[in-house]
Amino acid sequence: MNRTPDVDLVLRDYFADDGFTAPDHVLDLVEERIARQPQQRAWRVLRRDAPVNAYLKPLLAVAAVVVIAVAGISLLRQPSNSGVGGSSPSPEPTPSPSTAPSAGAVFPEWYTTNDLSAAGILPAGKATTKRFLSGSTFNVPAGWVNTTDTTDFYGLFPDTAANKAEFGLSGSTAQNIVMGIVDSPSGLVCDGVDVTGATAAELVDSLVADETLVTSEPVEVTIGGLTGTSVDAHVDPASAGSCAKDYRGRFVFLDIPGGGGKLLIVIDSAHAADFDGLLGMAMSVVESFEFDLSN
Amino acid sequence: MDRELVVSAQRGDRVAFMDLVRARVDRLFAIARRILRDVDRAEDALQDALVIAWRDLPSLRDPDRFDYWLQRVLTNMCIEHARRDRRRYAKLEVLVVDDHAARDELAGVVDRDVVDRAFRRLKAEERAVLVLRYYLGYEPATIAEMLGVSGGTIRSRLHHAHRAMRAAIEADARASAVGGQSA
Repeated sequence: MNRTPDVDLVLRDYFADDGFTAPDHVLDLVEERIARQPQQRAWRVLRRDAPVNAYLKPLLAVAAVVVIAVAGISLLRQPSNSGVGGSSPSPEPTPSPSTAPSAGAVFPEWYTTNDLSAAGILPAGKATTKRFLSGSTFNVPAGWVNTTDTTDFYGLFPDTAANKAEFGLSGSTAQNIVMGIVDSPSGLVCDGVDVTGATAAELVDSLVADETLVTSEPVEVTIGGLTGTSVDAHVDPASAGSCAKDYRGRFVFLDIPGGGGKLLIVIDSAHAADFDGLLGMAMSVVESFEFDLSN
Repeated sequence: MDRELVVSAQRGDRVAFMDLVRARVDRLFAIARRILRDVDRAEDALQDALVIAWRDLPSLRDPDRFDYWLQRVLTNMCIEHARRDRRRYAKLEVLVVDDHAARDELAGVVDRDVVDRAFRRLKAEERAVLVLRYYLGYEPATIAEMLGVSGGTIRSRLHHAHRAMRAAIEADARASAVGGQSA
């Protein structure tokens, strides 16, 4: 008699626990490796978990990232200049998007998030922030995704193969634009890098003065009616320590008039080889922002 | 207790992290070994996954989901390792078959080696789906979330894996029947 077994039953039996035991050296090696591996710096955490939920807030406090309440901004008014928004639509829109955490939001099929503030894949054209400096606008080509839109942070990433690969590996995207209202942020570029200053220029000076970093010549910028200073930075490859040497970031600090704090825009790539390409895609988006400080 | 350890580990406490890992490492190793079908590569993937988990732990929003999150990191790491060097598939180690006599009775007439061979012929992505479904007991929707693919993709992989396993088992059963008749 030829009985055909139930495949479900066969598989359940096959996967019954065999009592595999991990060799002791696995734990020993992991312990050695994490001793050299810093956890993601505060800004990076903030970037990826920007919804700032009940748990994250105390974590951020521990990380010494000081966020100034956006309420202060409501006192401020600044006429906006028109930003220049070019387009370099390199990102590829995902053909089969995944479900979204909030109604109406659609994400690339490879990306998952629980961030209810995220708008997901943005249609090409003019986009508007809902909560972050509510009503601010910018021009975006096809293939960009909004990951968070809270009163404190706004996040974007391009739907690129590099981001998909990194997300599959680590659960985070490699190339991003993140904006936040900050006072004296810490964890920029690497854990332990703290920047202080009363103005955008002073913050950049503080970053440039950090001996563990290699920085570009600071450049004065005007974006969306706000003036400030931009600098590129990465960890000095000759430095000791375990900071990620491959990371590249552009840090744009903009002064919010009237003591409203500083607006920090970070365009960063976990991999140096992709940084210039990211800037080519991202700067036109960043430069097209028109900030609404009326709320 | 674990929640406190997770929160401590998120704040940089390596001892807390290693305590969490120590309590789970055998099960995690079993997951990696089942997906990769190779002891050395399972060890490598597990190490890499745990280091990535340590690095990214501050991003975990809900400490109560640590196990789910860690399994997700590991599963994706295993798939990544499998993709890196598909050429080695031909050299995969055949898992030692333990004493499964009782279980084989439960499963009917299926030889465990047959199941093992069929399982090894699946793609790593399909093996991962089967491990998540039948070893860890996750529903397809959860597996889709873990692997960052659509529910349809998961159902497709499950269907294909099921069909491949059934075909292999039935082929073996036919061969056994023919052998039995000719003996």
